[in-house]
Amino acid sequence: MAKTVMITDDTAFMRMTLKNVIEKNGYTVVAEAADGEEAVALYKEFKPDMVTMDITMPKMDGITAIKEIMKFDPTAKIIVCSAMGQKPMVIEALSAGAKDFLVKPFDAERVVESLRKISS
Amino acid sequence: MDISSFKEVFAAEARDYLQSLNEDLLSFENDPSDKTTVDDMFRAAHSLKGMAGTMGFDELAEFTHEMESVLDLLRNGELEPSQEVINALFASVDTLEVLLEQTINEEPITPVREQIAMLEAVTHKRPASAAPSPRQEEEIPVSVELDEFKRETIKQGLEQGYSSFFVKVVLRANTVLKSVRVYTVFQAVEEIATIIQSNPSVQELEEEEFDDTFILTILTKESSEQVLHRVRNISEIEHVEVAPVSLDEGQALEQDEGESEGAAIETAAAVEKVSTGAPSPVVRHHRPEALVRVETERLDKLINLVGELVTSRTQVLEMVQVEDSIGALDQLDRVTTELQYAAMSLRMVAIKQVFDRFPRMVRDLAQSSGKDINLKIYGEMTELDRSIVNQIGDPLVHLIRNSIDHGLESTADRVAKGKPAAGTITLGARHEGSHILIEISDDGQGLDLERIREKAIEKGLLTPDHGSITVEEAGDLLFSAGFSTAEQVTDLSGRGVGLDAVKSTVESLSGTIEIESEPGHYMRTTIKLPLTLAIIKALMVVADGETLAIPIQAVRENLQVERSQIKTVQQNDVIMLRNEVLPLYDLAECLGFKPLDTEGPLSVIVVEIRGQKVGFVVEDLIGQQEIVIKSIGGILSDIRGIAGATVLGNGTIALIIDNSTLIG
Repeated sequence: MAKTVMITDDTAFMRMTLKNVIEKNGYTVVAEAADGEEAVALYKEFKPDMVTMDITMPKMDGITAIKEIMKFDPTAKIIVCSAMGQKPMVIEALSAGAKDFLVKPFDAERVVESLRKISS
Repeated sequence: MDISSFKEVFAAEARDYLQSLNEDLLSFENDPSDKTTVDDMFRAAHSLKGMAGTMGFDELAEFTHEMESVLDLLRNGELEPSQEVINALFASVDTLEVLLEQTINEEPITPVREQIAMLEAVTHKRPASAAPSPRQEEEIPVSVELDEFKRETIKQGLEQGYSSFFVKVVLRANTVLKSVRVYTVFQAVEEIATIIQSNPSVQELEEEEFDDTFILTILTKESSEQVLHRVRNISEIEHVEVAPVSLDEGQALEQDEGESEGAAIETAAAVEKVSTGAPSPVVRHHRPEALVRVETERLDKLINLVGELVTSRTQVLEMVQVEDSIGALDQLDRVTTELQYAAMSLRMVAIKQVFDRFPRMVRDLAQSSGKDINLKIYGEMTELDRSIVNQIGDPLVHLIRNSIDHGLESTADRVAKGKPAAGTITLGARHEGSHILIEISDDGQGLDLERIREKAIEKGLLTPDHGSITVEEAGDLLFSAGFSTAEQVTDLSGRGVGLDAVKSTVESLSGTIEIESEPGHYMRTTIKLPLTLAIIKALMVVADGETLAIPIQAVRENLQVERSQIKTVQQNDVIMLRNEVLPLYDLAECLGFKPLDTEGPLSVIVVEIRGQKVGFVVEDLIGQQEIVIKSIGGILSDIRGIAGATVLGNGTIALIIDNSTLIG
């Protein structure tokens, strides 16, 4: 069975781009969240195998969302997505439990590598 | 006009500007939103540039200009104040310092092309290495040089069944946020291993002052395949190699101070070839300081001598009773006492250097445990003996971890109980007489007396019909060997070792440990330590003609015992002391001397050993005295019952009794 992924990003454009890459490589996108709160709620509903998590988002930021999800499921596999120059935030996300990180603009191969490595 | 006469003024003012640039950068790092700091920095750089240009110091002016451009972009909001930018600015100030001193001293100027490239990279978002260097990672051997201390750590690890490996990691050439990628490698490796050393140093890795390759030296219980597998499963890793560490080659080179600079003789050479694109290390110019560095060995020698002087003074004062000399002797007495305190203060360091590691540790543990925790620290400037500071860290780590793991409730539980959502851990130190008190407290659930009682019964520490226990008894149980109440073994604590180890460390430092708690509200652990281990108060006694010193903090009382009071229980001599049975031992016999065979009443020193009172029969009692502890070196250092020796005023040597290992 194909592994399931939830995409979290506040811009529809980014979600679309990511979804395209992820689905092309044999994964199933089961949920898309536009902010941290939605991500936490959808995670609980869908229990996806993996999550991509943007950092800067309205309502609840990605780092808080990671902490919330990790509280709910300490085995959650989350890839944090950041822009250049968000180094301290990326480190905070990693120490909160994110398993890998991606830096925008995304390179399709990197996205796939990340998904493959954290799911193994 | 001869402008060179202004050089002194220029130098002084330029140094001031650099100093304020450094300070502003620090506060800017803390609060990047503060525009006035950026303005100040911009103005400082701008003025410096103008001054340097006027003096005809072109290199200095040119470099300051580059720095000014970055600050200008920051000031106008055209550049994000990322860590990368801030680090680049810090590095630039360092470079400026070097340039300035070289310029003023008319030394050859070190080319700063790389540093300029770094600043340009920040502003133009170009990769830092202007020309990618050819990849030569196969030339870097999977091995680094280790200093004495690290070799010893590894040796001990190997003895305890760990394996030690060098892990060479090569990042992919186009890796973004290299330092964060390194962080994920550290995270992954630390899950299964302890990192002993990193080449380049952690700081260089954090500042991305490396090419693509770094080597970790680790201790682990896992196999090399597992380590390899773990690292391979991290993104953006080009290549991983794991090789066993071998200690028996001629690697024991004398290292100069500092692990990062001196380390990696072999690797450093190889890395340098690879890292041509990275900025070369900037050497700070040394300025005279208000501090002098002294080898601790020399310091110890001085303190030892002062200690001996103090004891001879006591002796002299006892011998000389001439009226005329009283004034002079008083003076001698005062001066030696002051000298003694001054010498002791040299051994003293602020406990800050131990406390400083805790904010970060608590933050990390708070995150991994999902609890909200405030750490309050007080008394960090309290000073105590250097040798105690070196050993008190681990016990404190353990107690704080215990508080986080067992003491503080989850946020939800706290809110349900009406407590503030965030738990508070207080860590503090203060003086009390000739002792220092270190206190670790938390406002968590306190001791669960019922659970401790059940657990103690289960472990056979209490009889099954034992009634409810007091907080004091619970504390004693917690510190006994093999006791752990954690239902779930977690990462942090609860492995069943630890609290008894904490207790034995504290006791080996001649300290005591005490627990207070109000179940449901708080728990407080207080560690009481002597200010110094160099000079202690001791009770001097005689056994089989030898003078012996018993450290006073273990002595409870002295008794005169008639022989008729001695009873025999299971072939042991005991006396009844206030309705308690006090076992009696002949001190001389315990040490392998000739047992006491005099008639008449016996002098008994009551000593507390691991919470138990025992009586030692001695031949004679001399009295209290301050003594200087000297360790007995070499093959004699591990004798049961002997902690060391001291030289008495009359030049004879007295052994110091180690109560904790004397019997049992």
